[in-house]
Amino acid sequence: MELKTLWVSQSELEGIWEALHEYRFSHELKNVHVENLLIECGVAESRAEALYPSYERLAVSLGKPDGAIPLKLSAEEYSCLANIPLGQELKEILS
Amino acid sequence: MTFPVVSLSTMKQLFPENKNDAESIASSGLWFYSVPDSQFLSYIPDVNICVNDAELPGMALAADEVSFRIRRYGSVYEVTREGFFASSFLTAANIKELTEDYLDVTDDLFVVVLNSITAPIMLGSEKTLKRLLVASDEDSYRLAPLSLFIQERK
Repeated sequence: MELKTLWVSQSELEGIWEALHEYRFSHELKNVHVENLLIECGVAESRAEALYPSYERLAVSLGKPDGAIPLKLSAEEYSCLANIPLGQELKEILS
Repeated sequence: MTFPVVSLSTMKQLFPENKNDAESIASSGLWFYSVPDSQFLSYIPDVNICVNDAELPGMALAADEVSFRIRRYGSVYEVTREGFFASSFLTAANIKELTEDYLDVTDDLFVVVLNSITAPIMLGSEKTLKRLLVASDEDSYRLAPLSLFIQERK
């Protein structure tokens, strides 16, 4: 599976998490990509700690004041996230 | 009843290319783990786990009980003791009882051990841990059901 890495800060990750939950609760049908994105949000910080030990330094280079966390997304998940209502700041991450 | 989870021999099997290091690390009793507390999303309060005599060199395990802290980090759980990652203490921790009592993992619990001395052992569902390692080389970790690590003490 080809993955796209989306670097987000901790607060951005929380924003995405909340947006996904809002989407989930406002739609009756289960969306497999949303479910996978929620799992991804849940493991992303552990991945950063375990596999990217210098991610805080990377965060500085990326201009992320509260850490930079790599979200690993498939093309379908990325597309799904782009179509979920997000705040302007979060939309800019995806652009 | 206490169950050992990851024995030194298991450690050596997990790191076959690096047996000496595995023994050295295990005998030190601690793997340093330096993630600040503030980065964890939530805590499960300290839990006393009965630690029986472990067959590890150089480990002071005379105390009957050692406090471990299970921390939830996203949807993955990590085991630490007094700010240090206590990999080798897992040899004798009753992690099965602990997880049943305190972790909201409904699927079978899996363990992932990374080929890195600084990385924590992580507990979670198979689906969760596979997702965590989705971009990792399969040779860089070992993923197995917790039950495979558990051997009842005689």
